[in-house]
Amino acid sequence: MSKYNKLPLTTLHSLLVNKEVSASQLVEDAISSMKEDPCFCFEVTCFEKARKQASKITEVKKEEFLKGIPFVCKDNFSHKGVKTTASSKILEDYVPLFDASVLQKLKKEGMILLAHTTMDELAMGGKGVSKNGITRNPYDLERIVGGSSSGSAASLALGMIPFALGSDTGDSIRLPASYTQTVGFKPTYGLISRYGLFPFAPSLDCVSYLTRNVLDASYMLSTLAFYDEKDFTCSHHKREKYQDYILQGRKKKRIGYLKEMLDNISSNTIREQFVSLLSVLEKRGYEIHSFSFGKELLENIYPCYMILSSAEALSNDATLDGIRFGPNRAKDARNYIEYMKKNRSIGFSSHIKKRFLLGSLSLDKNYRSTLFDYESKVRRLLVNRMEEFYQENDFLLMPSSFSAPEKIEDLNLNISSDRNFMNHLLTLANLGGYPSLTLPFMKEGNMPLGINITAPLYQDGYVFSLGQEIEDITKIKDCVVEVAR
Amino acid sequence: MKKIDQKVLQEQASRLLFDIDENQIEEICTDLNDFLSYIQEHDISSHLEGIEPLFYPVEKEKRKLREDKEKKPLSVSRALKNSHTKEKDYILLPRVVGEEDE
Repeated sequence: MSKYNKLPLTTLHSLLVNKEVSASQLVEDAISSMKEDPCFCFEVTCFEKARKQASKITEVKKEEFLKGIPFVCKDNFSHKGVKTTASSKILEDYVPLFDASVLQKLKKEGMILLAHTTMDELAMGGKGVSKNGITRNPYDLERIVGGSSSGSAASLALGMIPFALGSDTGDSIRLPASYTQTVGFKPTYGLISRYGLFPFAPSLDCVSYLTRNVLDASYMLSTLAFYDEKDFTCSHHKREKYQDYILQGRKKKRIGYLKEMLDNISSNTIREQFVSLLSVLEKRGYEIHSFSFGKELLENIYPCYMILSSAEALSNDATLDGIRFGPNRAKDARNYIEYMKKNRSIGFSSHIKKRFLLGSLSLDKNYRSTLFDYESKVRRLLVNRMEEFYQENDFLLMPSSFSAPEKIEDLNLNISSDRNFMNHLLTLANLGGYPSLTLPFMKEGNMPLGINITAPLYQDGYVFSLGQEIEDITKIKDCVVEVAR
Repeated sequence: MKKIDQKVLQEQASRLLFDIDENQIEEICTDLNDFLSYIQEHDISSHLEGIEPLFYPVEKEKRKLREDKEKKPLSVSRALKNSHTKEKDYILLPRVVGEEDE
């Protein structure tokens, strides 16, 4: 376990400012804990580059909040000069020629990148399955940590670093956060630049991240949310000092939950704890409302997400052909079509091929009207219903997950197997572009389980404010775990 | 909705420029058909009359085009850095022009 990097960002910053620790010491502290990697968290490390950067930092001023602090990023952020593969064979040996805008910004702020973390291949999945193995949950090595930001969640939970960058397209930061007792935040779509983030489904993708507590998360949004002209989908909406929502006690008071969600929680413990939390929030002056979304509609979240994301992914990943980059496994190809076919056949796993086939079917003229066109309208219906919800409520509150993470021996990657609508409620935030935060809440047996707050567009600050209130109630924050030997 | 068969999947795969292993295609076919059945079982077409598709989550915001300023592009040598076979400023590939199966 690291000595320093298990602490939150705010504490590390104070230590650096007061010269109680140096950037080089923080980097060595992180490296010593990362070298073991009991959960398979890392695709590639860049320790020497980090050491060089740290050695140049001799002083940290009070206003330089992130300077000298180590972090990791998911293996789908372009990192100039460092192999970046999105945990896929199709990008083996790919070395980006530029930095993603968020990495450039963090470097400018003095943060030190140590490694790229494991993820589901090309971010398509929620189980932490990559080309080289499965990332394990530090709370129980026989279980998954969730995905696709698996290594980011596991390494933060293990106390190796205080901040981990990832991405969230369906729940890929918020579900691993739930399973690891960490804070996972997906901002409003377009607040953070996606330039340099390998695209999966561009209408759903969000740069997202993990921290130890909600205050840290609010500070990070203040740094990462900036207008970037290189990302055409980047919002022009005014950016703020999001930590002020916590520090100045800015609040909104109407909390809603889905009636269908509460009616279908199978675990008595989870239901009781959730109802108890609502009761405490009510005593603290919040209005609590039940909202009937419509079970029929909720059951359509998953197919809507799968069809639209698969169609978008198929289009984006058409560029992965082994010509400009990627492995050359087709030296004996007779023509360029055969060349691309051989590279793509070897480069993509069968799970990815399945997703592409689904995407292709959904755009095929024989199926398009009943799949892609239909689900695009379902998306509108779901978002319309959310907007009706937000007429009466400022927040949607719910447990982030309703059972412990799957055991690795029972792992099922079938698209059709996950039919329980309760497992897909977090995706509402992606379909509508809403800000959404998962933070630690309780344990079911010995496994952590988070609580999730989702709010209307651009209400990110208020999400942090309610998150901090819940932290204050549960007293669960800054959690780290040591893997049992 | 028409059930898909292995022939349909092979055609799609061919268009997507990858092969599917013989021992995987049946499993993929079953899984996709099960998923499509789920969609059919939960059909809500009756609620979609007059509903426009949603392709992008933030519709109300107007996008501004950036200024058309000339910037220094990536050099050819850097752009080709990740390619395996190259000659001077070109990527080398097997034949492009001609019959595919010749």
